[in-house]
Amino acid sequence: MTGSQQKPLLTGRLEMNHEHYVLAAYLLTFVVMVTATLKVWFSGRIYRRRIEALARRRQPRGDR
Amino acid sequence: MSSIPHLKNAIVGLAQPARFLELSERLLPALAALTAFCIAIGLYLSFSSDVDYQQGVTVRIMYVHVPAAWMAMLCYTTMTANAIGSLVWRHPLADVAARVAAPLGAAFTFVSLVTGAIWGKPMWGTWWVWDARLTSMFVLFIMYLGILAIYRAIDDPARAARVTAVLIVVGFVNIPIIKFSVDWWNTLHQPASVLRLGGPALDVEFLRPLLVMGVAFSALFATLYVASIRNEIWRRKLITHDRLAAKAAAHRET
Repeated sequence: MTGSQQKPLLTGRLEMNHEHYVLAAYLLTFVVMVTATLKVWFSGRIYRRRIEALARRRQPRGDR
Repeated sequence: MSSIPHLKNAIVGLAQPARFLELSERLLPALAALTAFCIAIGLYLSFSSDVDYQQGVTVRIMYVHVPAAWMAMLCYTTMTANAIGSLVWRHPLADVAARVAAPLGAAFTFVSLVTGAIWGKPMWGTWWVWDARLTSMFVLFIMYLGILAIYRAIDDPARAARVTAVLIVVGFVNIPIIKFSVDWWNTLHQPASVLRLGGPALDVEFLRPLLVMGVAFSALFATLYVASIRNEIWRRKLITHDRLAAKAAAHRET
């Protein structure tokens, strides 16, 4: 079932053609990988800020 | 000959958290750039290469499914090497490196399982079968989740490290089972077509994007792994600081 014969994805029964399967696989992969990357990046940012704040507090005022 | 002690010193030096943090700051931008570059090239090759005469365009799912499966197994192997380091030498950085690999491995295994199911539906006519390769991969995913659950369930980090290190080392038996399951049992999953003794069975048209995506996924794994180890070192530093501050406050009150 291709071209104009193909049923729409969001109405009626779900009919997927091969392009839809490929798109679904790539979308899923990139959603998971981007989520993992953002999680690592944001937690790194939070820890870095806390560590830097701690280092500033530990540093004697005269050294600033 | 003098290069061996030099290399040994370099590796031992890396095992010091301060040296690792210093190195990660220099390494991460380069790794992130390499990942972005390889993903861009890999995606271009994936969508510009020819389609398979039997599978049609669904062959393109292979370029994300197979590298994700490779990374799932590489991640567990890395975790096992670190778990051995944690058990034998009780090195805290080895425990850190083993711990942070688990969520990354779980993510890659999840991608591999779901993209495999998406590929299976048009090719096999079913999303899932309980054959040896799929089941052993599913067991790997459950093991990653179990390791994560144990880390969260045990408060004492040293005890959590020992318990999970034993579980990780024992669970490594699943990795050769995954690899050779398609040779040992009669499975619906196809046999190895890239990492096999007779050389790759794939045509270069399919092999090129697959290998580039493999390098891209490896670079992504390396980037996330180094960044996660750095984050965990910082997290532990902060926990130690908070505990010492709480102890000092309690001491002042008494």
